Amino acid sequence: MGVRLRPPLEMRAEVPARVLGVAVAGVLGRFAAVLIVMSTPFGVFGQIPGAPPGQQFLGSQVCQGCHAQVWNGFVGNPHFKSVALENEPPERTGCEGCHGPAGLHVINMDKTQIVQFPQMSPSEAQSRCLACHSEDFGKLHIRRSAHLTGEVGCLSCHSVHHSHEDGPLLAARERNVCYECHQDIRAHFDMPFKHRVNEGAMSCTDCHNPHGSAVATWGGANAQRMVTQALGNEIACVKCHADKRGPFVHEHAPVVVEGCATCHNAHGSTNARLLNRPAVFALCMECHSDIAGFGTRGEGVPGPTRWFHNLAEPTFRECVLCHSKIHGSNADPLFRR
Amino acid sequence: MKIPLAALLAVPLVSAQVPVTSAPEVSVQAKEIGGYSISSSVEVGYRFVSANGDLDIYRAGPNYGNGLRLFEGRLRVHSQDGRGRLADEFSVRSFGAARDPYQAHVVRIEKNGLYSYDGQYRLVRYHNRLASLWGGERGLRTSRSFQNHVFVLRPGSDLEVMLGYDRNRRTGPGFSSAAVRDEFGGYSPDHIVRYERDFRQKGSQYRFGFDARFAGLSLTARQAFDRYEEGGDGTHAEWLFPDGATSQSAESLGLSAPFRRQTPITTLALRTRSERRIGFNARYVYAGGSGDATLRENISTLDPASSLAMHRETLVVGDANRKQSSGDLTFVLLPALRWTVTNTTAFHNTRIDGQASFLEIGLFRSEHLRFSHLGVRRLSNATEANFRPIKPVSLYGAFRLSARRVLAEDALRFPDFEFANALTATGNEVRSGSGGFRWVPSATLRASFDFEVGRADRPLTPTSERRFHNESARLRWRHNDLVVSGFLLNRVNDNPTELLSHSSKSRSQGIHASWARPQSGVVLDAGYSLLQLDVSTGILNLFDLGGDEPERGRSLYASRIHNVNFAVQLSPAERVTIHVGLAMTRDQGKKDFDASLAGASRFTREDAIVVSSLPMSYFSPQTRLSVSLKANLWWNLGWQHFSYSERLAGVQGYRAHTAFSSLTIGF
Repeated sequence: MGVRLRPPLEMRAEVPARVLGVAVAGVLGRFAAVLIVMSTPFGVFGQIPGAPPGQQFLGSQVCQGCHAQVWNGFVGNPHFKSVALENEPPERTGCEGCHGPAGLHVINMDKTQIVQFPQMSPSEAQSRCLACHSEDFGKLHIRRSAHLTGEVGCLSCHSVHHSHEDGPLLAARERNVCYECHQDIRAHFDMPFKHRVNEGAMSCTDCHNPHGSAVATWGGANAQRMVTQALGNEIACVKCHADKRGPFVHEHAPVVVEGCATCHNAHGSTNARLLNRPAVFALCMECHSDIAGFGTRGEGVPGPTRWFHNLAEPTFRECVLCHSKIHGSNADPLFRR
Repeated sequence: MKIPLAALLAVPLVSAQVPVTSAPEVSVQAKEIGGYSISSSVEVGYRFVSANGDLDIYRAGPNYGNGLRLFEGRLRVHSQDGRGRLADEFSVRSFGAARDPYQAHVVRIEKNGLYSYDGQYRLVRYHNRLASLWGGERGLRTSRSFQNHVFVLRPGSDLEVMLGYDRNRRTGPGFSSAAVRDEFGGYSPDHIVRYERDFRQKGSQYRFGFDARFAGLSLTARQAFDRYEEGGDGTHAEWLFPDGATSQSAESLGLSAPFRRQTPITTLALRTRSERRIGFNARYVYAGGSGDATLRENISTLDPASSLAMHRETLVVGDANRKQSSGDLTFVLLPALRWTVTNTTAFHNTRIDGQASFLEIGLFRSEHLRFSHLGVRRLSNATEANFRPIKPVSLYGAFRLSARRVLAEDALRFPDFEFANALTATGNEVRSGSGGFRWVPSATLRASFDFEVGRADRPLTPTSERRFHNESARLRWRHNDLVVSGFLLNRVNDNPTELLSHSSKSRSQGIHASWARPQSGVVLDAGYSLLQLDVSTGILNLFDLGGDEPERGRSLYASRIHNVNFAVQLSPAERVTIHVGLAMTRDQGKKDFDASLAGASRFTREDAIVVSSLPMSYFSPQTRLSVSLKANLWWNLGWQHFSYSERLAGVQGYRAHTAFSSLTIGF
C-alpha cells in the first residue's frame, strides 16, 4: 500500500503553477516531465511499494494541466466530493480514485500507463467501480444481478464525465438508458394503457433495482427480473398501490403467493387496467376452473357457481363488477365488499 | 460554463419519441455567483386539446386537457470548490405543474460530507376506466399523489444517519357489491346491488436508520412505521340486472367502511465492504402488519323483482394480522479474476390471520363469524457462476431451487353450527437452470444469448409456471454515430393436467437503429418490435347453463402487437430545430380468430371454446418546432395526435389533437 500522507492544503493551492509545468512538459519531453513531477510537492504521497519506479499518486490537480476540459466538468460531479473533502486515501480520491496512480502516466506521457476504461472489458470496469461502490445498501446483490452476470457493466448505463442530470451519472435520461437494451419494454410503454414512464411521472427505478434485487418473496425460483421490493420485502407495486397491501381478513391468495403479474402486465398493455386479457372473465376463469391439484388446498381453484353465473349474460362477463374487492377483502370471502 | 447546443440535442439519441412535453433542452450559460455555478431553464406554455369519440378511454390514457402549464423547469446550483457554506448542491427539476395530469417535482440539496436531502412529489390524475356497463361508472376520476423525503446526515462517512418520510394519497371512486336475498330467502342473479362511494386513502411511512462501516464490514439498520387509512362514504347504490344495460337506483344508502393498518418494519443488513477473494452479505427483514376494518351498510330500496319494499342493515367488524419475515445470505467468491461465483440462500415466512363477524338485519337475519389463515413458507437457494475464459467471451450458469409451502385454514361459525376447513398445506418445488453466453469483441459489437429451463411440481394456479423455458438473444453494433440493435425473446410455459392444460407461448422480436450527428443537430431514431402471445387454457364452460355437469371448454387468447417508433430531429437553420416523431401500436389479434370474432363482442363461443382477442390500434404522430429567439430564449410550437381504435367493437375509440405553444427561458 502506498503512503497515505496528504500534502497540506496550502501546498495544494500552488497547483496551477504545477499544472502549467505539466503542460509544458508535453512539449519539453519526457525528461522535463520527470523533473517536474519529482519536484512537485505531491511527491509526499511517495513511491507505491511494489510498483515500478516513479509510480505514485500525484493528486487530481495535476491532471488539470492536460485535461482542463474534463476537470471543468468534474467540478459538481459526485466524485468531486473526494477532492473537496479530502477524507479519502489517494487511491479513492478524484481522478486517480478511478484511473489509478498517475505518476508514470505523467512521466512518460503514456496513456497506456493509466487505467483506461474504454479499453477495459465490462467486467474489468465494474470491478474497478465496485472497489468503492459495492458497499452501498442498494447494491447488496450487484454481483448476482442480471446486468453484471450479463456483462452489462457500470459504464453501459453510467457516464462519469458526460452524464445527464436526470440521474446519478446516467449516460442519458433514465428511461432512454433502459430502452437501449429493453426495446420490448419500450414497446409496452407505447401502449394505450401503461404506467406513466414516458410522461415522466414514474421512472424504471421506481420498480426495478438495476443493481440487483433481493430474492423475491413471491413466485418461485425463477431468474430474477430485478424487481425492487417495498420496505417490508413485498412486491414493489404496493409502494404506490397501498390499498392492495393488506393484510386482509380474506386474502386473494395469488396476490400474496404469486404476485401481481398473475393478472397484470405492469409495464403496459393493450387491455384496460393493464390486464393480461381483454376479457375479464377469461382471465379469471383460466384459474377458477375447479381443476384438482391447484389452489391453496390442492383441491382446485373454485369455479363460479354454475347456476348463478351464466356467461351469456353481460353482467357475468365482468367479474369485478360484483367481485370488486378482488385484491382482498375484510368483509367478504368472495371479495364483493 | 457553456453547454454546447449540439451536445444537448444529442440527448434524445436513443429514444427521441416521447409524448409532447418539452422542446429540446436549451443551451444555458451557467452563471457564477459567490462561488456557485448556477444554471436554470424553464418552459412554460399553453396546451390546447380537441378530443372526440370515447372520452372515457381518452381520459384513461393521455388525459391531457386545455390549460397553462409548466412543461419543464430545471435549476442547478453547485459550489465551485465543493466547500459551500450551507450547501454544495441544490437542484430542482419539475414538470407538468398546473394543468398536466402527470406531474413530478424533484429536489436535491447536499452539503458535502454533512447532509443530503432528496425529495419527490408526484401527482397522477387518470380516469379509472371500468367496464362500459351502468352509466354511474363512467366519468369517474382518480387522483394519486406521492411524496418521498430522505434526509441523510454525514453521507459517505463511516456512520450515516438516515431519516425518511413517505406520503401516499388517493381519491376517487370505490365500488362494492352484495348479493341480496329475494323474498324466499334465496339468492338469484337478479338480486345484486352495487355500491359506489368516494374512496380516500392516506398512507404515511416514517423511517430512520443508519449505515455504519467498521472492521471491513458495513451494517445497515432501518426501522419504519407504516400507517394506512382508508375511508369514504357511500354515494350511490343500484340494482344490477343481468343484461348489463338497465339498472334501478336504491332509495337511500348509508355506507361507511373505514380501515386502518399499522406495519412496523425492521431491516438489518451486514456485508463485507470490499470483495477480494470472498465476501458475503446477509439481510433480515421483519414486517408485522395489523389492520382493523369496519363495514356499516344501511340501504332502503324497492326489490325490482317482487316490488317489495326492503330495508337492510349490515355490520361487519374484522381484523387481520400479517407477520412476515424474510432474509437471505449470499456468499461471493472471486477465486480468480475470471471467475465470479455466488451462492444465495433465502427464506420467507408469511402468516396472515384474519377474522370478521358479520351481522345482517333485514327481510332475513344472518349472523356469523369467519376465520381464515393463509401462510406461505419458502426456502430457496441459487448458485450462479460467471466465467470469462478469454477477454471477449463470458459464460454464465445458474441453478436455482425453491421449496414453498402454502398453508390454508378457514372456519365459518353460525350461532347454531360450525363449519371448518382444517389446516392444509400444499407444497411446490421449482427447479430451474439457466445459462448465458456473451461475446463482446470490442466496444463496437456486443452479442448475448441466455436461456432458462425450469420445472415446478405443484404450482398454485393452472396458469402458473410449471414446465417453462425462456430464451433471449440480443445483438448490438455501434459504429461512430450509428447504433443498430436487435433482440429475440421467447417464453414458453406448459401446465398440463389430466383434464385440461394451460399453454402459453410468447415471442418478441425487434430491431432498433439510431444515428446522431450532434455537430449538425441531426438525430434519427427508429425501431420496430413484434410481440406475439398465444395462450390456450382449459376453463369451465358456463354458457346457457344447460345440463347438470359443467362442461369443460377452452379459452384461447392471441395477441400480435406491432410497435413502430420513429423520430427525426433536424436543425435546418442555426436557430431552428424540428422534431417529427411517430409511435404506433397495433394488435392484429390472430387471423384465425377474426372470422369468429366478427360482431360487437370481444369474445365468442363455439364448441365450448371461448376466444378472446382485441384487435386494436394506437397511433400517435407528433411534430415540434423550436426557434431560438435569443441566446437563452426559445419559442416552441408542437402538435401531437392520439388515435385509438378497438377494431372489434367498432364504437370504442377516440381521436385527439393536442397542440401547444411555449417559451423556454434559460437564465
